Amino acid sequence: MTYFKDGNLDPLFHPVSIALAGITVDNPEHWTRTFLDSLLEFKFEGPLYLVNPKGGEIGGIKVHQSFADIAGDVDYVISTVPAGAAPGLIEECAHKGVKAVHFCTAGFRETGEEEGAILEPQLVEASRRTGIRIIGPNCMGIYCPGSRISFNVDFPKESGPVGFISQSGGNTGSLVQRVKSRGIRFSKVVSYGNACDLNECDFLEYLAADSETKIIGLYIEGVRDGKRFRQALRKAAEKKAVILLKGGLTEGGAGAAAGHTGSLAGNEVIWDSLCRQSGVIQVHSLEEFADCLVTLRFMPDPGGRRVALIGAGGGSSVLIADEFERCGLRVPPLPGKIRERIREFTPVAGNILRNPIDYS
Amino acid sequence: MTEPEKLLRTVGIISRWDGIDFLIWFIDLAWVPVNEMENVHKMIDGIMAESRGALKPMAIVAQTDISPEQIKKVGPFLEKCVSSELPVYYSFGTAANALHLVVSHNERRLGKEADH
Repeated sequence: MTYFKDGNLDPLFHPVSIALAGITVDNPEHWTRTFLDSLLEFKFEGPLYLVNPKGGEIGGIKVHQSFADIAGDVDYVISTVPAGAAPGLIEECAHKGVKAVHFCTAGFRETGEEEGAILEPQLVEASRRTGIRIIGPNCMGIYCPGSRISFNVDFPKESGPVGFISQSGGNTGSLVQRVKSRGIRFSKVVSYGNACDLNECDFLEYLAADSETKIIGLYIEGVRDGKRFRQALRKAAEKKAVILLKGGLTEGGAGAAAGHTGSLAGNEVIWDSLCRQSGVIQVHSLEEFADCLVTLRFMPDPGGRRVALIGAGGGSSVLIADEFERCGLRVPPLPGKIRERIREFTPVAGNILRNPIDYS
Repeated sequence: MTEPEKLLRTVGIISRWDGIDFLIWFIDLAWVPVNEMENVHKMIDGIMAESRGALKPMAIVAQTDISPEQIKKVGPFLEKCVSSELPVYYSFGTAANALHLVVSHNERRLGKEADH
């Protein structure tokens, strides 16, 4: 049984009610408060429940000692319980009719240690048996401004046309914040970590069909099902612009990815080829990712590579022309008749009326 | 630095030239003195107005660094640039790279192999 039919993850991004399991009661500075702070900042409209066996209250919100104590329905759970308690939490959630659980908690496969390696399959088994879908573990979960869900109080509250699927919570936050001041807004974002249940293919197929999403971004460290991923990537790129950043392409990066999300390394040549064949824009840094998002979002297709560069500074003109031509763009010389027209109102001295056009 | 009116008149002429596909307005903000920033603001106001009726896509490259002194000087200017809903880049190299990647992507989608 599953609550999400035919890959439609709408209920996951639009839960009616949320419970925060494992939230720390005593320490307002504790990291588990991040999710509550963000949901309050975003004014999540549905019922919001807090669960911790210690009970008590946080800012006037009652802390329930167990899910059984909650009177209302719970759709979605954000869990910060320790890794060892995660499989048991799934059982508790099943009795409550929970549809999905996001496990922020680390300490599973990515540790490379026996205990974590045993725990993660237990989580998967519990998910399969109960029908509860899992995001994570070891991730930051969902940011969906349209349903007022966030894991960062500083993220923009407005929606936009970009969907982002990321295996890293930190890189998710970095990209969202990096492009915030450049006018980029998001439809749906998910940080999915170890991907023990819902994985990059589920989210990619969903965003490819999502009417609010026009551009899809991916930060991937490893894929769970290569064949399915290849198909999902190609289909998504047929419909929408897709940008992909593959982390862990070097030996050192691959080692870091294994320790970060338990992902296996990928061959750089294979990923280059996959992106090219799928019609995906491949980038190699978050800066490049941000610049491509800005271009796709705000630049209509120019239909060609010929550019006019107009600005200030002789040296700057030389350098920008070099940069553009080095990248395969063209900076054609200004025709005589256009130069004459500009000369009618511009002195020759101090200006370069070629292309670049320097207005010093 | 030149008068904004002349720059904008030039942009208007260039944007009608059929020898180009798009247009970039660039500036390296690092060398612009604080007392010239008002003039730069006037230029960008004009560029933004011009872009609304432009026949070609336009973008802004405002090259800067992240030293505290620079950020203080250029922050309001960059905010204005972004509000234009034009693509805004912070270095010549990253702008060229991103535009190349997206133009190449568009060419592949249309089945046009790049001949460069």
